[in-house]
Amino acid sequence: MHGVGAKLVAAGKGWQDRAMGAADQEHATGCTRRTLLGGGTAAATLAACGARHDPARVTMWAMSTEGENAPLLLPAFERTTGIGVDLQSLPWTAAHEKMLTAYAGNTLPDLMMVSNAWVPEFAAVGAIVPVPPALLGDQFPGIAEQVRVGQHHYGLPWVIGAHVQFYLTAPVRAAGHDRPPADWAGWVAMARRLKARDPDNWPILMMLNWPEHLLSFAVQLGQPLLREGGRFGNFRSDAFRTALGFYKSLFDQGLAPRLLSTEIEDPLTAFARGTFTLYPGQPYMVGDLDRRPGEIRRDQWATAPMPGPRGAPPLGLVGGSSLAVTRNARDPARAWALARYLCTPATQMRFHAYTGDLPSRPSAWGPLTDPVSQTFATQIAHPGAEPVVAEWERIKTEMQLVAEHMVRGSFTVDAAAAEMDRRTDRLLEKRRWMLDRGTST
Amino acid sequence: MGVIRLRPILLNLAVAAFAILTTIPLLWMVSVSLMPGGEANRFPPPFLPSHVTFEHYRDLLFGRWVEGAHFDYRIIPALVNSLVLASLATVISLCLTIPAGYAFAKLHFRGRARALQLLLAAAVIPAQVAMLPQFLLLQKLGLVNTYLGAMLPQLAGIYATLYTRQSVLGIPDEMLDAARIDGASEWQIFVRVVVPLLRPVIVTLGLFAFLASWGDFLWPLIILTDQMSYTLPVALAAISREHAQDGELMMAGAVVTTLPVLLIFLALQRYYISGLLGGGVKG
Amino acid sequence: MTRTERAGLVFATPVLALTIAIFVVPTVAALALSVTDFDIYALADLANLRFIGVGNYANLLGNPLFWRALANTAIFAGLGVPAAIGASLAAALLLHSATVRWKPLWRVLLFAPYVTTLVATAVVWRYLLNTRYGLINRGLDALGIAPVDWLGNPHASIPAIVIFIVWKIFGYNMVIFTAALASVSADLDEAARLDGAGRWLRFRHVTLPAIGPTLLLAAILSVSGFLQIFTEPYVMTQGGPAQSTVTVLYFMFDEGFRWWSLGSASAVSLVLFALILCLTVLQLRVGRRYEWV
Repeated sequence: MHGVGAKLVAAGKGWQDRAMGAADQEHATGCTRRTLLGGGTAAATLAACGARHDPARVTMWAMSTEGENAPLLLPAFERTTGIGVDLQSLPWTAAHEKMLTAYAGNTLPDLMMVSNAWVPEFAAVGAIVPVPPALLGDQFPGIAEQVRVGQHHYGLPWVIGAHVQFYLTAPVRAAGHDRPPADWAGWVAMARRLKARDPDNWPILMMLNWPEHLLSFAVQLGQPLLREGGRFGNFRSDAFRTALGFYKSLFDQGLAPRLLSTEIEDPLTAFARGTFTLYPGQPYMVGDLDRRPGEIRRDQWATAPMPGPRGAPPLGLVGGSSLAVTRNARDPARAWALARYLCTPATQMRFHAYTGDLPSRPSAWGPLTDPVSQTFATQIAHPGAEPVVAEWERIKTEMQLVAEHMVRGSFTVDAAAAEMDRRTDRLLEKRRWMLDRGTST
Repeated sequence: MGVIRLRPILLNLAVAAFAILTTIPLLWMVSVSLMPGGEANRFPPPFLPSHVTFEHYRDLLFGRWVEGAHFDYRIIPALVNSLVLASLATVISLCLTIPAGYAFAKLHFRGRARALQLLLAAAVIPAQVAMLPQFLLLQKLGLVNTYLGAMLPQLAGIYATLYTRQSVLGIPDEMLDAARIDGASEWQIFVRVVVPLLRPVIVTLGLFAFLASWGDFLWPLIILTDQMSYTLPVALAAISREHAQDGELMMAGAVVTTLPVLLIFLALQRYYISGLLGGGVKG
Repeated sequence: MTRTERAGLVFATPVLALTIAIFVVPTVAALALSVTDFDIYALADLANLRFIGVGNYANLLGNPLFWRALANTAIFAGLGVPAAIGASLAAALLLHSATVRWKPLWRVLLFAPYVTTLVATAVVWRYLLNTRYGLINRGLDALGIAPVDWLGNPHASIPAIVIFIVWKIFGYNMVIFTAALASVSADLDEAARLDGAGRWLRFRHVTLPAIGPTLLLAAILSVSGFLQIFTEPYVMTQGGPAQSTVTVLYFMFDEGFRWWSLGSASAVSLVLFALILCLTVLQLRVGRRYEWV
């Protein structure tokens, strides 16, 4: 450091001297070779530094709502165990790629929150390690299946959710219903009535870049989305094409706007103002809505399961996020201690109060008797099956891209289904090769 | 006579209008950053804040304390990272490229012409071609998520070397030979004769290097995996994904990211503009 | 070895070594990667790597998104380069006019956007282009034009980003052109004026040939720049709507750093390289014909 300082000072003096017309070049260029070399080495050493993490502290990554509210849970943990935690919050849209990049660069944190859909992928490449069996009790069976790869479970379920519809009670009642109809036909009829009453606004909000909406319709029909053990796409099945057609019809009838999430900065404000009446979403929205008492009150909205083709109770899109210890963890025991703490029923209930997220431990559900939580409970009891393959995140993304094109008129339903299969088969080619070789599950 | 010439008036108005239109987005950015929360999302959109508030800067830079937990956007670490990274990159690349430019201009060594061709050929390669293997290389070296890793692609400084060479070519050989006859070593000649003459070039190149490092986005996005290591552009992009609804907060972030380089530019415009125009060494 | 030779080698070697290590070797490695199917499985275990020859390139040719990215990039360049150079030239001509006062002030104001950080201004413009709350639509409204769904309509998204980019970069070439205009022979211009040539003719036959080489260089650099657009779609539209703002570099980033198909992404980067090279050579050829090189 001294070298760099000396060099900069000398250079500064050099300019000063020249400005005053000093002829003493010796003084002006105090940077001898030695100083330069010393300075250079010091600079290079400094440059090799990265973010310095105290090895005694546990590093953790979480996303969005959970990442922003988890700091509220940490002081208690740090007090009782004396283990410090460095928490970072990532945006959902960048989290998957940041985790893969960190995996590739060997800079994963000790503990990270992962979407259950990503667990097969991260487990396949060895980014995360199996959960100690002692921590695995007290889980919902459907959720536990989502994080099981082969013989082991690779994530400790932390928060769970289901895809349900949030709706504004007043417009729905004005359209003649206590709650939205449970079958597709009735639901659409109600939406049409809502549109007729309020042509400038939209009954339903479904972002065109979120696959959850289409998937929630698709899993209701009970047919798998991939076939032959996850080797090929099954989007051309009758079941999926039915769901696809239904999804498309909602946009074609003007019941949902063709919007991406980037175009609508604040969807909850729009929901609160009545721009949208039906807003399918996840439990964290409960927390977000509760944080805006000035814009919308609890009695102005409610939740209901998504409608099914022939009525309730349909299978639903159920998922969640789990905590996983990574292969770069410097002290896995401490990381698991943090994970265990975050997943105790008491902590999960506290987290629920902050965010609206639902506990993964069935034993924590005792106090959750309110109608909103019960809606989620109903849906969670009937999980639809999502494929458990490493490429699923990418396949979902491609599926939704094709669906967006279809909604904008570039594909018919059948052509869209065929295109989804084509892209999926291409993405699964490596998996087929590895399965045939016997190196994958 | 008093004939009012129309054309000059129109031209002046045109330039003024052009300049004002160009500056409006920046003025609006500052204005919104000072608005109370939620005001920018009103229809019709306001241009001036109803009352000036610094709450977004406070939230952005210093975070909030809620129930014993600290919520932090980590902008100050990002600011420090940007400053340190840009400064180090500037200093190191100057130390590497100025001597090299001089050598290519005035010091004949075997293979010099071939080496120059290599530099010219490498200058044509777009940065992205090498990015993926560079990442793998840095991963093997353990330099992912470090300052050195983030600045490495910039250090090679091919354009800076060529620019320096061009400037040095203008120095008369006699000056250097005279110093040699006086018994000065090559290093001394470089440091005492050439560098003083290159002062404007050094400032210009340093300025360019600093601004380039400050604004670099794609490579830091890839190589910096830890929020504590983010530079300002990367941090700002991450916040914009999550907090799109807080327009005022985002504008405050944009101001923090842009203001330092804007000030540096205003202070050193002369060098920047002359650098754009090809510079050179006078006398 | 003489003393100057030794000094020359010592001075030049660091830059050369870095260039080879940081650019030449990785470029060759990119070529190697592009003929394999290096992906996340291979990152986990090198045994999962396969040599597939031109497989990546064939897949690219059969991938509609790749063609879309090429088309989008072409539209970006096709709209952006004339707009940017035109705006720079217009600004330079205005500033060059002898009757304009306070030039240094206007020059700083017109140049300011170029120095601002790209990510920050992209965020600002994302709000400016908002359909309901953005200033741009408010300005159009004041002129009586209906609001445009800038970032939500697939047909308006590229023009929207082009407007932003032109705003950001026109100052750079404005300065370059101002200097070039200053070098146009005033005598020639005066002689033409005395001969009765109007402003347009004078521009075409006196000014334009004189600044020709500068225009060519600016065009080459502009085209190269527009072919490498990434930050703007990443920050403003995430490639949407309907992938209408996915550029070749954005596509490469997705393939390489989002899904970690490094083999495929390397192939894309080499295609981009070839594209830039071809277009540069083409432009140089055209320039040679007009004797601007």
